[in-house]
Parts: sequence; C-alpha cells; structure tokens
Amino acid sequence: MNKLILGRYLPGDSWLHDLDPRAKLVAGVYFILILFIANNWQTYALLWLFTLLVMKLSNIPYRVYIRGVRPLIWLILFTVFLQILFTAGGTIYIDWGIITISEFGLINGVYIFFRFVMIVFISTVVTLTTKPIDLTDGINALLRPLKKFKVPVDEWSLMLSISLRFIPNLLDETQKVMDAQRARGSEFGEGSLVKQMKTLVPIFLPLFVSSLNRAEELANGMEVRGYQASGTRSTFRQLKWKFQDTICLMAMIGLTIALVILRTSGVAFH
Amino acid sequence: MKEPIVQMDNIVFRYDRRIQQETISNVSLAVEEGEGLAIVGDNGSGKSTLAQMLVGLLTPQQGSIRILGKVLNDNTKWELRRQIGLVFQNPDNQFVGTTVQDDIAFGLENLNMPLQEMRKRVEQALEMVDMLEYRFHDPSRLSGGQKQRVAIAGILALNPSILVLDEALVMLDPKSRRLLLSTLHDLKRNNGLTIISITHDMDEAAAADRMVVLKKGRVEMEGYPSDVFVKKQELEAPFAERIRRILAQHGCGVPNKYMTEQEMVQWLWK
Amino acid sequence: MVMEIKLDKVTADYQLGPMRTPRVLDAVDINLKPGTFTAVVGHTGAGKSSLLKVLNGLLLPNNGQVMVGDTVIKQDDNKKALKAIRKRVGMVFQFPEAQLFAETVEKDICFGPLNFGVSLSKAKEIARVAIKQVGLDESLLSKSPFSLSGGQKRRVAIAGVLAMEPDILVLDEPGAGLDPTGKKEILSLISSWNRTKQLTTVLVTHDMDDVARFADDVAVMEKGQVVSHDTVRNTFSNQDQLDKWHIDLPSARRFQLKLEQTTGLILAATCLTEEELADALIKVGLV
Repeated sequence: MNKLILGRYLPGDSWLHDLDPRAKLVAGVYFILILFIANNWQTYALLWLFTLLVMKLSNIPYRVYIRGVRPLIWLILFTVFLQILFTAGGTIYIDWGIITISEFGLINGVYIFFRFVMIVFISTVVTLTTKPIDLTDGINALLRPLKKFKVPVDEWSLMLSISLRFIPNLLDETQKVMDAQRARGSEFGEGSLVKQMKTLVPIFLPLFVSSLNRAEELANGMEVRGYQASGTRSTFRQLKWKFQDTICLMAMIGLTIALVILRTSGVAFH
Repeated sequence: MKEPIVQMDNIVFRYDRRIQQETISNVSLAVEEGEGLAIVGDNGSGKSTLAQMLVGLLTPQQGSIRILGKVLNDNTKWELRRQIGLVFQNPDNQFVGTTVQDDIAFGLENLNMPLQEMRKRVEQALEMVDMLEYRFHDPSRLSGGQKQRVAIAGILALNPSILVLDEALVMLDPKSRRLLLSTLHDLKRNNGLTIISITHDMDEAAAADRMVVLKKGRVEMEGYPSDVFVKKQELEAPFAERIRRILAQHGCGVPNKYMTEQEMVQWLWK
Repeated sequence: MVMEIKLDKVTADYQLGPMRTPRVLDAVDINLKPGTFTAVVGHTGAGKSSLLKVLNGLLLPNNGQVMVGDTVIKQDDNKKALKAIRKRVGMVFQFPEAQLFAETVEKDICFGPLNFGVSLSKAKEIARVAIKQVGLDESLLSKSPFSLSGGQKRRVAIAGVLAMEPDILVLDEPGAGLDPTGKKEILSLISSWNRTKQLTTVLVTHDMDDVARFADDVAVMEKGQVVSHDTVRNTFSNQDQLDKWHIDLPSARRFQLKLEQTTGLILAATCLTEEELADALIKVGLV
C-alpha cells in the first residue's frame, strides 16, 4: 500500500502543481496519443527529453517516479518479451524453431519499453501534482458535454469526490479494528489459507457494519442540507484557466509538430 | 399571541409497526421563536427519533408537525429544511467536502446559489463559529470541537431560523463543550436563532430557557431548568445543583431552589 | 497475579497507510505500580492512545523498552512474545462496540480466549462469568450483538476483553458517547474490578470528574511525553502547571477556586468531588 505511487498526490508548489487540472488531464491523454507518432530514434529521443523535462518541472525527485514504475515492471517486461518474439524482420540473431529473435523485434521491444515507461511517468506526473478533488473537478468539467446525452456527470463526480474523501476514514477504521482484534489475540497472515480467511471475518464484518452506518448517516446529513439527486446545483469550487494552462497546451502542439517533422525527415527504420 | 415556530401535535412513531412498543407516544410540544429548548432523556428515550422527525427524515405515523406555520410533509420538507437544520452527533460522517469551506458550501450548492452569494455566506458562517482561519483545512483532521463547529457552520450558512442539535456536543471533551455552548448562546442572542438541543448533558440543558424530560417516548416533565432540576431529584444535575442536594441531605439550611454556580458562590458568601 | 509496568525512554513512530507521524512517543518514562488506577490525560494528539498501544505491543518502540511484569517488549519482538503480552494486557479501544462481529454475544466474548488457546467449553464458562461482570444478564449470550442497545454493545465488547482474564486493563475513553447513567455505571464497574481483583488499570479520559472520582494517579501527556505523573490530589493542586498544560479541572475544584477567588477564603484541602467540597464547606462554616 505504501509503495504505490501512481494515483497518489504529493503536495508542492511547482509550476505543474499550479496548472489547471483540465489542462493537465488533456495534456496527459494527448501525450499518450502522440506517443504513437514516434517511429525512429530521433522522435523517441525528443519524447524522452520532453518527459524528463516535465518530471523536472514537478519538483519531485526522479527516484519517486522510478519507484512508481517498479510495481509494474513485470507487466512491462512481459509485453516487451512478447513484442520481441513476435516481430520479424531484419537480421535474425537467434532461430530456435518457433522462437526467433530478430533485429526488428529487438528494436521494437526497446520502443515498446520506452512507450510504456513514458506513459507511467506522465500519468504519475499528473496524479502526483493534482489533488484528487481537483482531478475529479477536472474530469467533471471535461465530461460536461455528455450531460446533453443525459449522462449523470455531476452525480458521478460527487460520488467520486465523496469516496475519495472517505478513504482516510476507512483506512483509520481498518487500522482500528485490526488493532482491536489483534489485542484480542487474533493473528493475520499466518497458517493455512482457510485459517487466514477466517481471521479476516472479524475485520471485514465490523468494517462492513460501520460503513453501512456511515453511509446512512451521510445520506441523512446530505438530505438535511438539501441535496436532491435530480436537483440543479451550483459549484463552489471553481476551476480557473490561466495563461500558463494555455502555454501547456501550446507546448503539446509544438511537440506534435516537432514529432511529425522528425518522423518524416528522420531515418525511419522499417 | 404569536404562533409557535415549531408545533408538534400528538406525535406517535414506532419503527416496527408489528411491535406494540412505541418509540414516541403522543408527544405534543411547542417551541417559541428565539427560544432555547433542551430535550433530555437517557438513551432509548426517543430523543433522536424526535430530532429526525423535526427535519422530515422520519414521518410520524400519527399527529402533525408545523414549522413556521406550515405542515411538514413530503411536499414541504425541502422548502422547510432551509428553515430548520439538524446537526448530528458524529460530524465525521457528515462531511462531504475535502476542505472546511467546500463542506460548508455544500448546502448552498444544493440551492443552486450563485458563486458570489455562496462566498459571502460561507465567510459569514465561518465567522459565526469562529473558524475563519481553518477554511482551507481538511475537516476530518480537525479536533472534535472544531469538527462540530464546521458542521454547525454548514447549517448556519443556509440561514435557518431553527437549529436542532442531536447530541451534537456529546463527543466533545468538557472544555470544548463549554466553549461551543457559549458560541451557540451568542448565536441565539445575536441572531435570534431558535435552538432545540437534544442532549443528555445536563450543563447543556441547564443553559436552555426551557427543558423537556423525555422518558420512554413520553414527555415526563416540562418547565424551566431551575424547576425541573429541583423537582426531579433523580435526574442527573449540573454541578451547583449537585452540591445543593448534598448540602440539603446533610441538613444544612440551603434554599429549596435551583442556583447557578455564580448564585451558589454568592449565597455561600452571604 | 499483579503486574508492574515500566517504560524506559520509549520512543515510537506511527505509520498509517502512507502517512507517518514521527515521535508520537518521545522518550517516555513511566512506572505503573501493580494494582493502581492511573488516568492518562492530555490534549488530542498528545500521545495518549499511542501510550496505550505501546503497553499492548500494538505499537513497537523504536527506542527504549517497555516492561510488563518480567517481560520486555522490544522493537524486533517475535509474534509469540507479543501474544503473551497481549494476553496479560487487556485493551479496550474507544467505541469498542465497533469490534463486535460474531453471530452471538457468546461467540464474540469467546473470541479472545479461543485465540489464546483456551478450550471451547472453558471459554464458554468464562463468557458466562464475563457477561455478569459487566452487569448484563446471561440470557443475552445467545442474542446477536447487533440487536443490542448502544450501552449493551459497549458492555459486551468490554466483556470480550475481560474474558481474556488480563492482569492489566487498559481503556481508551470507555464512557464516550454514553448517557450519564450508562457512563457512571461503566466507570463504577471498572473501578470495582480494580479494587476487588487488584487489576492494574490505565484509563485515558478527557473528563476530569472521572479522573477525580476513580483514579489514584494521573499521568499528564504533552507532545508525546509524560510531563507529570503524580497522585490525583497533587496533580490538581498544582494550578500553574495545569494552566500551562491546558488541562481542565474537576468541577469541584473549579468551583472551589471560584469560591476562593470571590471570597478570599481558602479551604483547607484540594477538593476533588462534590462530597469532599460539601464537607469542606460545612467544616469551614460557610453553611
């Protein structure tokens, strides 16, 4: 639980922390899309440069990002491995019947690896520099056009923000119940699987009961304060588009143009 | 004569219609505008049920509730909830926002209030409970007393005429309880707020203008706190009254009337 | 068996999920004599709950050592040693009813004893004793804990801890949220176990009237340290220090000071309860 970096927020006051969540979300998704423009070493080099620069701008040390990749490393290596095996072309280095490792396969493997790591890095940048509640607001704002099609965007985002808000309480509660049962001699993570499952009942049941109570109280509290699911609500938290957000999007356009130029002028390897 | 701000007539409520036992049996109560009414009684006396009926979370099976002259029912409850707010025992389960000010704004958002007006109301409400400097804090990380102040501000922002406190001070330590009680007293005096506090804290009851003792769903006694505490010797009492009772038992010539701590000191020094 | 608890320069950090609070305990020295009733007071976040957890091995010290009887709790303790400690130190958490989980009250009370290797028949026997100890009727044993009232749930949860037959009972605000009658009854029960069974008791509370009425000693905590450990009367006589720590007073003492300030009269002793105050008032001739 402590190792997971992707999805966490680290308070700070960098240029990136200050960006509008909408700008960050759009730029993040856009970056992942334009990754697929890259097809040669020049384009990949440019993308790397960009990624490292963005990470630098977040004022968060590189080692935090590297820790963020670590839990995903097996998934990445597995994908890379498949890529190496199933791409043919160029010089063949190893040929053991069904298993062939070719030049193109190796190069493709490296590219896939880079693409993966950059996706993880950039998404981590977005979540590390944006408060969960701002992310929710950003998503809500971006999905707003869907309201025309009767998609309950506001309800979803309220649900999401309330869930986020209750995570610390749930963590607290879990810790408390675990401590209480441990004090009564319960041991976790020991013995056979069946035995381990059994020790979880005294934890999950109380948590389940208290979550139900909590939900009921919350619902009552919301109703008393006038919340109606179908009602039209104004919003107190306002997102403010600043000049730097425009710069951020301009930078993405600049990057796209540079990529397209490098893709056509650079030496494509296929 | 002016009509009472809250009028309950012959209220009957039972949770389970199959069971004969009534949670509330034939309760009639009137609350005057600007009055501070304390409803006391042990756990299981039906006090919280009464509180929930006052804001339309529960509907009495018999009898009627009129608030500001309007009958409380499914059609009027949303409108009346702007006039009567309920503060629950456990603020932790009520917070919707991730910052103090976001949470206070929740009820205003539900009214679809314009941003400028919301900002003004939030500011005023924070000032009333003396929490302005905490506006950007995470409400779930505040102390018990501060949490309850935020919860009260969330209701006050709606500009209600009546505030119902359902054991809202119970979780607080005695010192925060005394401080919050004096804040509520100021609100009543300066803003003409009607306060109905449902409690088992006798200091809170003693501070009210009038008190009602509830027992097993019935009104057992009603009157000025000073009369009730003297007449009902088995009722837990505020400190000065406890001293008076002990002195009376020792055969000391104490007057047979309720005294505040201040009055007790003066009487002793005479 | 009566047991002594000794903390020697105990320092501890607290980790919850991604959040880490350093030094929730900072070089705590304290010595709790067997059979005593000690109240732990201090502000929210002063380290009271952490102190309780350290006594039970739920929080392990980074530095220093905790001695419970002749057993020492160290940083790298194995599970067996910790389990032995947990059997001796019964811990009642704040709102302990949140730990109830079993289909019947009996099963819930038996949970602790069974975890500590007691046979089922013996555990059931213990459960019958424990439920009576908390002032409830045996007939509740077959009921679901979730069908009980708030006060009854609280008592069942405490019975679940008593059933472990601990030598030391550690409680975090056992009266919180109960009505005055319920609260008084629970605290009286705890006090009677302390007196009749010589059960060493440690109680965290914010209510100074409870401290005055039930405890022998008070440990005052501030910023992760025990800044004072003295008898109740000495603690509440030391007004300057109490102000500095922002510690509240028992109602009787508060009234006494108000009276002394208004009248200029000084009562002979520090009064802790209304009975003491009434006696002092009679003695000094004010009534």
